[in-house]
Amino acid sequence: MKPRNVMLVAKRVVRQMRRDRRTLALIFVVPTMMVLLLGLVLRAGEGKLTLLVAAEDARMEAAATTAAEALRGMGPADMTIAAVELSEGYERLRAGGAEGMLVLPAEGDPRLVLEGTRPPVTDALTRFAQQAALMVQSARQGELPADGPAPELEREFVRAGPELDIVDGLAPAFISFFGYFFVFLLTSVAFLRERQQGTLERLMITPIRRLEILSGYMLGLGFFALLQAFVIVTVTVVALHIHMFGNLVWVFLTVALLTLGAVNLGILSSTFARNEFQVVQFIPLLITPQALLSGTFFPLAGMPDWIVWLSKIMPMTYAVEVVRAVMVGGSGIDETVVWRGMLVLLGFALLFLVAGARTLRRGPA
Amino acid sequence: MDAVSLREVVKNFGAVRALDGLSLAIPQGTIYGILGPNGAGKTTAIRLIAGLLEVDGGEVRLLERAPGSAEALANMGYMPQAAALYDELTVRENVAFFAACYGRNEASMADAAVEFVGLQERAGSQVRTLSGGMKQRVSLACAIAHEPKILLLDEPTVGVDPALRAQLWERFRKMAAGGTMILVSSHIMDEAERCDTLGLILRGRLLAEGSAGEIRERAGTDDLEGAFLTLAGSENEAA
Repeated sequence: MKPRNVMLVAKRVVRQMRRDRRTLALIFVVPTMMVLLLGLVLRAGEGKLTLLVAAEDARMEAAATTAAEALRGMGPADMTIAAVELSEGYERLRAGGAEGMLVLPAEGDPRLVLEGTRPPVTDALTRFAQQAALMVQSARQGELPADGPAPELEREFVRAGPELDIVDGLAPAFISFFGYFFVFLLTSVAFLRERQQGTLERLMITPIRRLEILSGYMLGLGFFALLQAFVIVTVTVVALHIHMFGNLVWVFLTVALLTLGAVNLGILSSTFARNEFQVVQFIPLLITPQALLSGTFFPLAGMPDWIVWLSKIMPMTYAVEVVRAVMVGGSGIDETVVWRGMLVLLGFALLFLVAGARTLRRGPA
Repeated sequence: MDAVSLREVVKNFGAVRALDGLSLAIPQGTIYGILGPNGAGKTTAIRLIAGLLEVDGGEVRLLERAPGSAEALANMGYMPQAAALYDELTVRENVAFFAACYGRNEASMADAAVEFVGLQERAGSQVRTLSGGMKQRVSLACAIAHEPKILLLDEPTVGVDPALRAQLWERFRKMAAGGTMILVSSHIMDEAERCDTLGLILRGRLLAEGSAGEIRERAGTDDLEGAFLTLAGSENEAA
C-alpha cells in the first residue's frame, strides 16, 4: 500500500465534498437539529396532566373540594388537580380536557374514571390515584395513612379500556408514520428517475399539461400507496392484536389521504433534487421532524408552544390524531376530530400537488 | 411560412454566452443540418426551439407560434441526445405511450414508427434489454410516431451502424418530401452531405449557411470537413 495513492484518493474525496455545499450543510446542520429536537421532546414527557375530583352525590361536594386541596400538596408539580361536579367531569374527560377523575362516593372506596387512550398516562394516574385513595380513606377513618400496598382501585374508562398496552398506544403512530415514510421514498425516487432518464423532459414537450402529469403520478403511485396502507393497517391490527375501538374503514381512509399527500410531497421535493443523494437529504428535513414533533411517538402535550404551532403544519399530526381517535378512542366520522383531520389531510395532498406542478420546470435536467 | 425561424437569438448560461445573435429560417419540407464543434451551441439551439429553454434575447418561432405553445408542441417531435425511455416498458409500449401523449392512440401509428426504425422484431422486448444503438432507434421512433411537422433530432444516429443509418436517412428524405421539416445536429460529415441546407455554428453564431456543395465551394476545399476547418480557422483569425 502506497501512502501516496491513499492520499491521492483522500484528497479527491475532500475536494469533491467541499464543492457539494448541500451535503456539507446536511452533515453538520441536520444532526445538530436532531439532537436538539430529541432532547426537547424527551424532556417534555407526558406533559401536564389534569386530575379532577368529584363527589358522587351533592352531600359530598365539600369533601371533594377538601380532598382536591389536600391532593394538590402531594401531586407532582405539573399535575393540575381541581374539584368539579360529576357531570362536568365526565364532559371534560370526553372532550380531552382532563385525563382522569377521582370520584368520591358517600360510602365505600373512591373510584377512578380515566380518559384511557394513552396507556402511559393511564398507568401514571392509576398509581397516583391509589395513593390518593389511601389518603382519603385514612382521613375518613381518622388514622394516619398505613404503609403497605395501596388498595385496588375500581377503574372506569371513558374511552378505550384497561386492556390497552404500549403497543396499542403506538399502533396509530406505526400505521401513519411507516405509510408516510415509505411512500415518500418510493415517490421521490421514482419521479427523480423520470427526470434523470430524460423522459420527464420528453413528456413536458408533449401537449400533456404539468398538472396532468403530476395527477397521473399521484394516481399511479397512489395505487401502490393505498395497497401499502391496506397491508400496514391489516398487519398492525391483526398480527399485533391491536384493540380496535372504532371502525377500521376510517383508519384506512385516513392513511390513504395521508399517503396521497406523501406521493405529492415526494414529487414536489424531487423537483428540487438533481440526484438520489439529494433526495435522501430530504428525509431528515421533511420526514424525521414529523416523527418527532407531530405527537407521533412523543405526546405534544408537554412541548413548548412553538413546537405545538409547528406541528399544526405537519400532515402527520392530523393523521395520528385521527387514527388514534378512531382506533383507541372509538371515534367515528361524525366526530369533529375525525372529519376535520381528514379534510386537512386532503388539503395537504392538494396543496403539494399544485405546488409540485408550479415548481416543475421545463429547464435543463 | 417557415417551419422554424430564429431571429437574433441570444442565450447565456451564467457568464457563458451559448448563442450570440443566431438567426435561422428553415422552410417546411427541408432537412437542415446544424454543424459545429463541441460547445458551439447546437444543442442549445435545438432545446430553445423545443421550448425546453427560454431565450435571453431575440425570438424563436415554430410555424409562427411561440415555442412551448400548444400548437407548437402538438406539431413537434424531439429526439434528445440521451435515449430518454422507460426501461421497464417494451419498445412498442414506449412508442405507443408517447404517441398517445399527442392524442394519437391508433396501434398502427406505434407499429409504423417501430418499423421505421427497423425494430419490429424487438417490439415486445423491454427497453433495458436493448443495446445502446437500438435504444437510440426506439427514441427516434418515439419522436416520430405522432407524425410531427417539425422534427428535431439531436445527434440521432450516434451508435447506429452505417447500413441502418443509410436506411434511416432514406426514410427522413421521404418524411421531408411529405412536408416535414427536419433539423439535425451532427458531427458526422457523411450525414451532413445528405442535408438540404447546412448551418455551420461557431461560438453561438452562424458562420456559414448553404448546401454542402456551396460550402465546399466557398471554402475552396474538396471535402466538407476541410471546408469546416478552413472557415472556422479564418473566423478564429478574425477574432
